[in-house]
Amino acid sequence: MRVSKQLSPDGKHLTIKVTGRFDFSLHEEFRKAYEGMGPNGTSFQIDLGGTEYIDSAACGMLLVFRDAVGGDHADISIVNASPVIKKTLQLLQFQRLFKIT
Amino acid sequence: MPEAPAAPGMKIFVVDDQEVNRYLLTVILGQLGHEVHVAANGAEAVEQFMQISPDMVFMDVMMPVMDGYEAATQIRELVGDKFVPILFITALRDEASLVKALQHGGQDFITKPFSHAILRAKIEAMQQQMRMYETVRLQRDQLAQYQQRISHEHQVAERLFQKILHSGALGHPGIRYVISPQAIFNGDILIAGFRPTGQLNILLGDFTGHGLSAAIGTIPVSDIFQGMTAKGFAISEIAVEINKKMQMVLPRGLFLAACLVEVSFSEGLIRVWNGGVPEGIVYDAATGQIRARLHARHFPLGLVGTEQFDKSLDIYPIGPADRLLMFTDGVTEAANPAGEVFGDARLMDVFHHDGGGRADDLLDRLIEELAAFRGHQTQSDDFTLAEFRLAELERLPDTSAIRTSHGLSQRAFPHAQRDWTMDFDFQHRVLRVLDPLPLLMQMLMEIQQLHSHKEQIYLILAELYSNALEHGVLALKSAAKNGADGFERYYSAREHALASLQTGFVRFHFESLQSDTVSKLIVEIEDSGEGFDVNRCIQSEADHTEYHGRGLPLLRALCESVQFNDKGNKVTAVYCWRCGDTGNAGQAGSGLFP
Repeated sequence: MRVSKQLSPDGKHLTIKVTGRFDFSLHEEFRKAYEGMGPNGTSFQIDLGGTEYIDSAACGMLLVFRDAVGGDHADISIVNASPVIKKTLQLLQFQRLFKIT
Repeated sequence: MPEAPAAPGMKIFVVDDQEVNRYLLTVILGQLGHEVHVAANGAEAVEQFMQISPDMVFMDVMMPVMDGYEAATQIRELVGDKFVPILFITALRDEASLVKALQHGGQDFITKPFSHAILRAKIEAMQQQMRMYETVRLQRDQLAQYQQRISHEHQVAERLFQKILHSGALGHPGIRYVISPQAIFNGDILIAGFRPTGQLNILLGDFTGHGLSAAIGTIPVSDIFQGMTAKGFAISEIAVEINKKMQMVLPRGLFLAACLVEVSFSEGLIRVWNGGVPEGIVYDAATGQIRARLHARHFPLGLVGTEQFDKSLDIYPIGPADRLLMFTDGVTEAANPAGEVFGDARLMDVFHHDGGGRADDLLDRLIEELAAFRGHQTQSDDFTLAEFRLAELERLPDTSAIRTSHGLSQRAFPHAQRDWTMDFDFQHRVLRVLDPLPLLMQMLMEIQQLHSHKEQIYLILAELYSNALEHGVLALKSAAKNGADGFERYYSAREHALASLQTGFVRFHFESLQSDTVSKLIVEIEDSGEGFDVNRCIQSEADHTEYHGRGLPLLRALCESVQFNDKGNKVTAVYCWRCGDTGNAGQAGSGLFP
């Protein structure tokens, strides 16, 4: 499993962790990780601590994810990204769409 | 799924040195509906094999002249690709001999004495195998054909994409670029084209995702870019249009990271809109010094709607030895066998190589470094890299009309008739949002057959309009452009002043005069500004070292006459040509660069 998820006991906080290469091959797995989580006040954390590499297709997947869980009202933070991945995300201005810490 | 038809009656070749066995098998197999041919030893069998071309062989092991093992081996070589089962006829019971039979290419064996039922069952089993083999062979051939077709289609598509995406100005000797075949199919796009007024518009883009869907998206992008560039639109407007189109056609999650650049030679600057492409580099080829990085400030195209879209541009001054290097993330993210990426730091190292100095061969060095870094992993090459030698790209709008206009005198124009006039009054609220030039150009072209003079007329309008707007309505001072910083200050002041414009206007008056031999287009433009000291401005024309001040001399070169009113807020320019003069006799060679 390259995508793992963990829901907090109160069900209000979902962490999705991606390890290895985050690219289009994870499309299905990644989508399944947030399946059924509509815009219902849950906060999300994408943990890229174990991610070695991210491609633009994965960035597209992050956008689809953001739309699915509430778009502009979604509470999503991206954490533990490596400097290179952070740079990629910033190049695409993703800091304006996600909290990147 | 293709399947070979069942073969009830087959051609069976019986090879046995004992006549009684040959006879028995001929009778039994004949009863089962097969056609039987016989040979008395291995050598005979090999000799006759090709002529008979049997579907199946029954082969005795012990025979004079050539035994069954040798015969089977030779027959295998003869049939090659085709599947012809060989069944060994044997009285042998020892395992070693049976194994040897199978090792020599036998599919199975039958033992003497022959049983009708077992023979029949074994033949049917073989037929089943033959059908399967035939099916696999057919599928293999079809697959090979399919593969061939796909690879052919790829070649055609590659040529097609090359044509679509790499037409325009990319053939210019001042532009060098590398785009890997892999990158074409992954949706990289590089296009460049000159506007009628001589500016060079460039787009470097990279679709998210891979493969055909990404590649197809490049086609509408190319159409919009080339169409609008030819009509004279600025890159900010082109970015808005492409963004709109991408929003419409691309599924969510797909977008186009793109960097648009507009090189304005007459102003000595570039304007940049960068959404998601790695920071391109402006550098001085004479010193190797990096003058600017083209920062990515915007969302990629197709990601946000028009109302959220930010079309503001960054402005960087350029000098005569400057070059522009642009590249996709395939360069910075190229990986070596250890999985490390090339990165921006290594890119910078290429610049600082030898502690600076001339950077004439920088592109070549970069390509070499990149190849060396990647090692043998060239299979997954997926990048686009382009270098623009700015000074070499400077192309004056065609000024061949000068020859004509200088040769005309007022006396040659006594019987002129007015064909049409046209007036426009653009008030401040329109000026804030609309660039009227493409609109006016389109109307002029529709009214009269002016296409061969399009570039000159566009340039005249563009110079007159920017003068009226910037120095008249917005009251900006040209001198503010002095120095590298001044540029940016000037253009951000322009942007700011325009966005908050509360009063003012620009009025256009067009008039077309015709005689039998000569045509004239009179353009009058008036602005709400304070005007300026006409004489002082004309004085400073001689000074060519400034970043600004090239507009007026250019106008005078193109027009028969350029006259200001005393106040300096109204200009009348007369453009003139002989009937039948196409206006496109040749390219002007003199440079505008200081």
